[in-house]
Amino acid sequence: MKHKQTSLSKSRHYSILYLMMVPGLLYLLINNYLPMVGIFIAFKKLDYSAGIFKSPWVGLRNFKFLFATSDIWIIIRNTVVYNIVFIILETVLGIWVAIMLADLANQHLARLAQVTIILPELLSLVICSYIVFAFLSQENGIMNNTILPALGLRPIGWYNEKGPWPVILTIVYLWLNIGSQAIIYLASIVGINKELYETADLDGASRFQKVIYITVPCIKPTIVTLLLLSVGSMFYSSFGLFYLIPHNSGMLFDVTATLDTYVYNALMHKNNVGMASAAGLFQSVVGFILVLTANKITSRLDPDNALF
Amino acid sequence: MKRTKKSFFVRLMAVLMTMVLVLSGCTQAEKKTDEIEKIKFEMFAWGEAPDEEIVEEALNAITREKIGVEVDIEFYNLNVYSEQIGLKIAGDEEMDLVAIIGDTLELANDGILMPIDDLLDKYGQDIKKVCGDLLYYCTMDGKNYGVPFMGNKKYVTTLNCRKDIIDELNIDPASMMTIDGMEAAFEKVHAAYPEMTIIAPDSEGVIYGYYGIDRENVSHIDFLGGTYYLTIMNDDPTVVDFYETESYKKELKMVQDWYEKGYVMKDSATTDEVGSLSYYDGNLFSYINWQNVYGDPVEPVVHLGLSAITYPTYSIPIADDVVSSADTLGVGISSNSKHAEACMKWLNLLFTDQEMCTTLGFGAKDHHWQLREDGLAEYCEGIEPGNSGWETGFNWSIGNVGACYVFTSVSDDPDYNKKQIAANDTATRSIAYGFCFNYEPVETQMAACDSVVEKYALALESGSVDVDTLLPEFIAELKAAGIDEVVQEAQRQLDEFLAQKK
Amino acid sequence: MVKTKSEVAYQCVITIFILLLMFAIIAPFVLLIMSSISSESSLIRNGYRFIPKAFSLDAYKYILRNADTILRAYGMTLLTTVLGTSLSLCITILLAYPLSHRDLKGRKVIMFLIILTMLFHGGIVPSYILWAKYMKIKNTIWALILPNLLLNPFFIILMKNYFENSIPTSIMEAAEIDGAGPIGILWHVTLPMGKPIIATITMFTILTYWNDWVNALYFVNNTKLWTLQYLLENILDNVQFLVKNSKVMTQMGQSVANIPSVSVRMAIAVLGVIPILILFPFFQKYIVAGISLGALKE
Repeated sequence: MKHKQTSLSKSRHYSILYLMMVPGLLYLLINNYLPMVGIFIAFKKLDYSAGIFKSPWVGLRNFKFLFATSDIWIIIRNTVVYNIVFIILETVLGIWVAIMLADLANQHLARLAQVTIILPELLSLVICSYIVFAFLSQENGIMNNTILPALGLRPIGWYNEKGPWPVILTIVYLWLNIGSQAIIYLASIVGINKELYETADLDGASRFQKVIYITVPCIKPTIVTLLLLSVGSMFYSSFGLFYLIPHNSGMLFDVTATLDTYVYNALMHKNNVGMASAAGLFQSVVGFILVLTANKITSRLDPDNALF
Repeated sequence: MKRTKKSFFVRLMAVLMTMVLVLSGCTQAEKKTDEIEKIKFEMFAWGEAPDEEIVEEALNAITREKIGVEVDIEFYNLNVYSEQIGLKIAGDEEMDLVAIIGDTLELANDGILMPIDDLLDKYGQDIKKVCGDLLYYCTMDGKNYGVPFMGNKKYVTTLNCRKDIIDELNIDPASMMTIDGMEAAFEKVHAAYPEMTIIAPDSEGVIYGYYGIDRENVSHIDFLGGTYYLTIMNDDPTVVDFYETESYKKELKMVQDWYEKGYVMKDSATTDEVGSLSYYDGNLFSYINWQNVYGDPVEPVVHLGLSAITYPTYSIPIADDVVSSADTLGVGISSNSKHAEACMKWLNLLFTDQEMCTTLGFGAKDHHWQLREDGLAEYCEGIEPGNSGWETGFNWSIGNVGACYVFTSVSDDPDYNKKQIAANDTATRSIAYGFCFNYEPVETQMAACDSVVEKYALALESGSVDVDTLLPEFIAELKAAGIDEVVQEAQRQLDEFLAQKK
Repeated sequence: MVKTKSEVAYQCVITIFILLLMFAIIAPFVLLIMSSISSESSLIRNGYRFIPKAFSLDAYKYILRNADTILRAYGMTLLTTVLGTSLSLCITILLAYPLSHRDLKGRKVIMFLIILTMLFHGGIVPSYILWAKYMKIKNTIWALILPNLLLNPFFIILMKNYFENSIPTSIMEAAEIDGAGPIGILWHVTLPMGKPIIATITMFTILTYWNDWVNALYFVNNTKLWTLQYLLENILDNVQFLVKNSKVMTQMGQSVANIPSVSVRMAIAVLGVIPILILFPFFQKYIVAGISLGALKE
């Protein structure tokens, strides 16, 4: 017996949905929106005894230090270029690994692999920096003492040579993140209707064609979402990756300095909340503009997958 | 068992609400009105102090009777200490006594401490007597913001090296007090032990950067405001950027030379370890240390997990130190304290009462330590120093060390501690002792300069890069970042400070 | 499934790739474990090695001196993770499910508001004031669960996307015809068919809570409530402080001997990793690839 949806049942349907969202939205209101008044700290000199609201305004002064360095373009270039490279690589490799995991006939291995590749999330980046040091230490490192001699090469002063570091940082980044990327894509791949593949098989499609014409389009929403969200962090960088792993070695500055490491180094000797807040606001505003733009473009090209 | 999501949510909210109510109820129940004033003491602890309650009670037993004050100590993580104190003020949490370490005098800058001149005059007579001219720990705009803890302030920078090797190679230790003698000795040691590291970096990989190699021209260096580019030397009140001096260049070139000769660890710039660690393993010849000059012998300590071999050590003085307020542990009063007078009374008692002082530093009487008839103190049965249950890590520098009982492990002379403090009178003070640099007028430039320093200084000081190429770059970038303005501002403030100090 | 030669070849190739990947991921962990059982002097002399020159369990002995601290920290971490993950999962599902309805009014606005929280932050100062002063959660277990961790907008979006795109509306309509309201659809359709994404997000949330030490840093002074990761971070921070300020610290009477050695730090890191290493394989049952086949049957 078919029920006709009356307007009454539809509105009741909706009110339950709205009610469901209340806990989550309430939490976001309290945890995220209330503290957002802190954004004003970027324009103040924070006097702790006066509190946030009564501290004096200083206008844009807190932002000056961001541009007081002659290296500002290197810093921005590094931040942005690394982000772009990282995003491209982790997306392509993440999807590739996810497809392999989904296709593995031996599902025990697949499950084991899933558990394994997510393990890097557990390691504190300080410990990671010790491990990288274990490889790259000049005196005792595994590279200089074991691997390079085996290849017949002389030892290198790793922390003093700029050249290899973009590659090193990319490898470390991928080591840390490829697992989570793959697993996110895997969840989507698993949800694809198997009948699509069976039909394709009947049509004699090759494996590669199936990937291009079925898998990727079906996970497109996930890809687009992840890309749009990454755009918002374009001016952010992982502090642990760019400061801790290279041990803040000055010689590597040109290839490891990012906005976040600059802010840290500049403010290290003082606990200047106003200036730190200004830096954060700067990064947020740029990210915001980028996301809005990217989202607008997506709304034109692919409206279903726009974020909002 | 079917439950709708909605009722789950309702129950969840109920639970949360109850939690909040219960918690606020709890805090209210604790606010009993008492004649005894309760003050809080925010401190950082290095080690583990699980016996906190026992020690607090022991302290309170003394202070309750004598001045009607009780204390509640709270410990913090060292690394983010100033941030956490600031947050507590922002959160309107009551604080009273606030410990200060070294150049965390920024606490005064951020409005976290209150000026204590009047309080000292009223209730701090004993503190004034004990500290003497060292009282003004942090003075900004003519007001004093902190009381230094009185420990031994007479230090000498030394080079600690292996006595057995020195004797074996017939080196005269006294000759090593000059740079030439030191380098000659290094050469000998390197020839005899090519695998051994000759000298280790100290904090952050600095090998010899700031210790006054140029002893004919430079003495009594004081680094203002915790940065190395605001320096006064030779008792001359001119503020100088140390990085631009000939001294610095000389030192860098010397270290670079050592690096090339193989005296120095190649990883010094990037290692996470304190360089002197390998000393205990027999693989290091010497390292820089700061010795307490008053008769303390140098004792190598057994490090966890290492072999129990300890090496007899010579301790060779290499620089003239000054007493600087940047290197001191102290205490201030929080700007939102409601018990400022009780705080000062408590501190004043701490500086004179022997039992109280020893308790704060070493634990409760008759629990952690006991008093012998000859006036010395010793640890109780079963308490091992290092794992006593009250390891704040600051036993030797809290309160007024001169007032503490002397421990048998240190000396047989019951007046040992008093003599230590008396020796402070002969320690050279920096002319800028008590000066607290307010960096606000130049904070943008300082931020930029700090960033440049982080980029170049460590690499240069580790000896692993070419000084002649990089040092000019370093200095040029410092200038571009506005270092001259920072120096000028520091000079201006220092002149004002010295004028007020009369 | 037809086992053609190319199929077998393909399986071989991807198996090799996956094994290589697993090896590359695990290798640093092996190094970590090995260095925690190396003797300190061999670490200083020879650096970290996959096969230590000298073994020693001293690091673990040192840690187990304070076994009850470690055990308590474990307990706290476990408790926090279980509570936090359950709570978080409920709220996330409750938010993602309605948002996955294309015809929900105001959907775009709500999405915008959620994404805005990913971009703008007020910083620690107002956050601290909110939670410590007004919500009064300091030194309670809620301090470890509520601030900043309970809802991750990223996870909300992922879940909403999955519900929207990977669960066919035909099945939802069928359930509606059978008389199910939104809650019934959630329970009977969305949750079972959404298992892949729910399992994934559960895994990530567990890791979020397991790893967090920031909340403990700011909101918990009571050492009895410290979590394992915070214990480790505390030690690492103290070491960093000592190394940076060795002059001041030496004058205060601290000697190098008080720094927990590298092997101790590695050992604590290992302790932080082992439980997950053990627990997650048990969690395997619910992991993605295994249950995809069952999902469509409903």
